[in-house]
Amino acid sequence: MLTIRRRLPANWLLIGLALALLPVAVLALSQGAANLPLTDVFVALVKPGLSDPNLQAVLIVREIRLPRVLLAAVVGAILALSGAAMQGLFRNPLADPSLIGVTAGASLGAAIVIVAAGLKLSSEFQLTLISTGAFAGGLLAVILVYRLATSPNGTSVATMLLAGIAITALAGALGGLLEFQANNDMLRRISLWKMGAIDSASYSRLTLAGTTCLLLAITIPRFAHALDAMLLGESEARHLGIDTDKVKRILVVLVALGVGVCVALAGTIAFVGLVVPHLVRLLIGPAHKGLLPASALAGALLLMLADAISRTVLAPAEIPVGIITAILGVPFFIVLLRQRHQYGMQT
Amino acid sequence: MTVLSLHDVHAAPWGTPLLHGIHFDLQPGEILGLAGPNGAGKSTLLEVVAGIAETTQGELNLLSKPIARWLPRERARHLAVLPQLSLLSFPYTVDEVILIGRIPGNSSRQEDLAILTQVMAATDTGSLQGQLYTQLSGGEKQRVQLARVLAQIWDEQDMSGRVLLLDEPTTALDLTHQQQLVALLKTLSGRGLAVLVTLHDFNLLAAIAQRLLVIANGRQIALGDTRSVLTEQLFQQVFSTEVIISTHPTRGHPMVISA
Repeated sequence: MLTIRRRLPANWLLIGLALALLPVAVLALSQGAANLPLTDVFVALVKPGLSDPNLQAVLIVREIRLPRVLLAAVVGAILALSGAAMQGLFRNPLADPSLIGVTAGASLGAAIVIVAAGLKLSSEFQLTLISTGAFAGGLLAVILVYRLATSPNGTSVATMLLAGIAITALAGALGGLLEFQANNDMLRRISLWKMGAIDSASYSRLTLAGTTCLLLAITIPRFAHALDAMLLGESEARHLGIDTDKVKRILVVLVALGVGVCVALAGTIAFVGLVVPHLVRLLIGPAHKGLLPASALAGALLLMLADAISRTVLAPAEIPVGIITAILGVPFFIVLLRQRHQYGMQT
Repeated sequence: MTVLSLHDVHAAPWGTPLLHGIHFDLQPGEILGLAGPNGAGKSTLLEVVAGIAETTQGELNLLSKPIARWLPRERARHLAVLPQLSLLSFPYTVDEVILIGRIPGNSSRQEDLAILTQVMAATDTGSLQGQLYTQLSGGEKQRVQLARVLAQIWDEQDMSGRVLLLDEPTTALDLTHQQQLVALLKTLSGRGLAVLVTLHDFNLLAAIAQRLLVIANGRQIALGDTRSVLTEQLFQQVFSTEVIISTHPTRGHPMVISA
């Protein structure tokens, strides 16, 4: 049965998502162990200086929650944008940024640092050290995957996928070996880190993530047309005058950088990169010109909400946000899988 | 002005030599048929002509400039390729797929949409507007892909200086649309478009092409006007098949009948 698909115009969705950013951010700022009225949040955001009588609210909002909410937005945007780019590059709607090995490499890097550095793990210095280890591990894994998939005839995305699976399995095994040697405190730290959390937000970390996000948001959408053409096939794209090897190289580097920074700062956050582009494609279609920016905005919204939920459900305790995104994401994803033929997906 | 010229072209895209001493010219408005047994190197030749696979020896010029010296995007405005099979598993609409052909161009959105309407009319895909490409039949997909590659090099008045390479463009087409394709290619060649087309159906090839190039095992066996190339000896030599060469009763082009 042939159907003319009714789609939302991409610009409407972009405007809607952009308009939702501020209210969702304010809502997220008001939620947490201490529930703040919205007026206090506004006062804390707008009034200069800390001379306000409601000093505690100002402190909570400015020093704890604001960097955290913003970091969630930035990490969500990077993960969703990277996911959309990877799904286009691999010509597979089920691809995920972690496919190229970056997440597994980063987890191994973090585990090595946690086990090697011992136990004084709460200090800012230790956190930075773990993040650095994670970033280095993620980048090394991607370089290895990319080298394995590249021959004089070019880079094969199919080989990259297989190499990514192999490197992920290897990193998992090495990580298992480390965990076998680790003591209980280290084990707990490793597993908590793997679940993903944004509780270590600070303005310096936010700056790093924000800069990375800006770089990706400026560069990746420039490849929107190239990604559309490459979905037809690589030789078709080359006949259209696109340097496919260059596109692959640049996109893999950008995604590795983006996801590397995210995993380093917030651990592994599942399903944002997979589900968000899927949802956006369902609404406005697969053309990358709208898909890439809309995915970034939707990813930011989703992770701000998920982080707010993770802070409130068991307050004052916090559930790692990776668990929230997985619990929300998996049922949703299964529904999508079962309905994929209704919106023209053929795989 | 010669649109395409090959002089003693050799190629070995995956290390093994696959093409040896290919030699032909293509003039504006000319339709050259390319024939040969399976594995003769037809698709390789198209890849080489398209500038995707490199030559190891010889000269290959597009508009008197070596193909390797063209910027890919510039080249794509002059030369388009219709492959045998395009896989697309994402639910793009027919319009979106055709407009992908406008990526190398530097025209405005309005001009692109005008071209979209014109190529849809030319390929009888207007009725598919707004439908999802993934839900089309094989023949409909082939026509949409044809519309896409036409959009890439389209000009309503003058298409001289542009080349279209077609690799088995009729495999999924019904008789009506095969005839429409023949008529369309003649119209476009009247506008100056040069066409290089591979087909296994010699009768269709004889109806479309003015000249034929026959290759086997990567070597050029024959090149010339359709009537002089299509001989019973050629079919014996290249395909080890007995055929009778006759003439189409009304159109006058040669016809190949199995003996």
